[in-house]
Amino acid sequence: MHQRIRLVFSKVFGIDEQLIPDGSSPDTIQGWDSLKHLNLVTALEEEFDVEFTDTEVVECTSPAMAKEILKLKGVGG
Amino acid sequence: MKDIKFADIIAANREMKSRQKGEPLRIAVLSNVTAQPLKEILEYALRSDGFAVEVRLGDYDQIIQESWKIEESVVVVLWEAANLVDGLPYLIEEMHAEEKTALLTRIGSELRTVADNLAEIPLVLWATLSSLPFTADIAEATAFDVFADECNAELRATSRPNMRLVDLAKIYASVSLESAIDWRGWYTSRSLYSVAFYKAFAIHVKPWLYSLQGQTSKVLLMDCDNTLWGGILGEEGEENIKLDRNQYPGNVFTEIQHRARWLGHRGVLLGLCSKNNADDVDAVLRDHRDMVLRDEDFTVKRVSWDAKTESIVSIASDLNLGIDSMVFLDDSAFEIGLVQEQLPEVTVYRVPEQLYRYPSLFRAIETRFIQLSRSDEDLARARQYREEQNRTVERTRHPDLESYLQGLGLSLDVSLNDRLLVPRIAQMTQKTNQFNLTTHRYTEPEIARFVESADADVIALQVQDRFGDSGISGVVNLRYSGNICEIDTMLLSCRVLGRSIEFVFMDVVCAAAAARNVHILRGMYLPTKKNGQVAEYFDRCGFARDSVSEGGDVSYSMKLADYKPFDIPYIKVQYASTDPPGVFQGFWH
Repeated sequence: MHQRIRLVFSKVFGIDEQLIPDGSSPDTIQGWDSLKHLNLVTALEEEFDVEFTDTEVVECTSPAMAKEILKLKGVGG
Repeated sequence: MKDIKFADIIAANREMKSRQKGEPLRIAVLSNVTAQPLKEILEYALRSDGFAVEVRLGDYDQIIQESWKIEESVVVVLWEAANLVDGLPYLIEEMHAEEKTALLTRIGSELRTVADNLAEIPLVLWATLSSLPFTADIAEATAFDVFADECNAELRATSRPNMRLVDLAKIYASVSLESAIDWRGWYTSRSLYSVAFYKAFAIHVKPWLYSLQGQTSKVLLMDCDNTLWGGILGEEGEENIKLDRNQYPGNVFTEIQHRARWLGHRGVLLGLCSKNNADDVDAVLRDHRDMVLRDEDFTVKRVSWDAKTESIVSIASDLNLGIDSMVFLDDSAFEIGLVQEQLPEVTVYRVPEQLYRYPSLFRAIETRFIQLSRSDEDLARARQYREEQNRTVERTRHPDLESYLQGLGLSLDVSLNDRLLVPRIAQMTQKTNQFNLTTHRYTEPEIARFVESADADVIALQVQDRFGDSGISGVVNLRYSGNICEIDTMLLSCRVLGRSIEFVFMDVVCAAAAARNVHILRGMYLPTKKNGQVAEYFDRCGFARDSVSEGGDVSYSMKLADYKPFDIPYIKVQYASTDPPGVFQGFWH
């Protein structure tokens, strides 16, 4: 799951996977604006076939947070 | 397209953008909802077909303001009914009749303002207004339903020749309303539509964009057995092939034949490409009582035991058309595979094994032939190609081409700045690929401006011979500045090539320029994949090469006084009576 999350981040933001540490955030990734954020959420939902709640959408600000959210939603691996 | 994930679309689009070459087709999206995914998805859809494109999203809810200052060639208008007024889907239920009328009047006038502002844009794709996301679960017709209908009536009344209405209901239906709408997006950021919606939207509008770029298919080549009729003629016999419209699957083949015939009536060239005994097929075309298509509906026939790839190549050469303008329809996986492998430029479709799915496949094929402007001349085109076929037969009988041409009774009718010809001329600039020096694509308003301008001439050529009239087959746009004449566009339909008409064409151009007291003629050859045959055209007409750019663009010039007319004796040139008297006087002899 870890790998898949980073891959989604990499595709949405156009950054090499290696350059996306788990703690990456809107402050460290260039171009992470509100529209890109919606792209990211849409892409994660599509990848893992889940629907985020309102709070989860707001909280999903790093690969580590995305992993936590997905685990709580019962996504394994 | 349907199955690719959004993250992959973003990634692939970014990668294709970096490799994109040539001048991109520029598209602006004007919307009163957040339509942000449309940029990535529409760009992806076109770029993955090898199309250079750049989509710009206008600012949120600034449709009217932005419509004044569009610089793109295509505008997509997504004017969402639900956001005409904040909260309209529920507020409208409580509005008084006068309020509704006032609102409708306001919206009608806004629609017209935007349509006026966009009148010169080559192509405007305008989404209809739909209440469905907000009302589909209510059985009664709601006030919002009625209002959306009324807005659409206003929109239809506003429609201009450059506008195409994109029916949102069709897009909802293709993906289901449930997956088309993004409720979270709507309530958090006024982003009503899902990724699935935008994918369907892109697929839906693509054919119009291809047509704008002159990339419409022109020929539909069909197999016979299990494609035009059910069963195998050579094995089952004429009386047993399935074509009975009262039975399945005869009813399917009957529908296909009607649809194909209708395409033919709209100017698409129909061809048979079948491995069969020619006499057997001819007998069915002539005698079978259930056949809808008859011999005269087909412009070309290749019924033989030759490889279909050979037949296709020889058809393209006979029609003077590129292989990539061919669509090939067959039931055999072998034939489809062979053509796909050896002639990858041909678009292929295989008849589905579930024959009840065949008509919907055929409707998808029909969209490949969408044309933005269709003139009466198009409708006569198939007939003209048939005449061309007769000429080709004649040509094989004449060992000496020159004497063949002398016997043709060729004449050129030349018209100058004729307003009535604007639609046909614009269409020719959009569709002509091979004999086209600059391949500038123009819309009707743009050609109209050339025609009206005091500093430009638009000359159209009509070619006739004893087999018939080829219609308007040549166009040249000239711009004047001082004593210099620039040949902005020069093109000829491939139907009239091979008869030295292209050289007499330059005689006509020089006559027009001489009438304007021009001293220097300038021309450009801008190479494309398809116009290699005119790479030396200006050289052969006596022009000198001034410069060659890195991309291979060649600039030419010639002193008019140095021009030696070709003056070909067997081609008669006549100037249309609509020409201002004396324009060509003094040069032509």
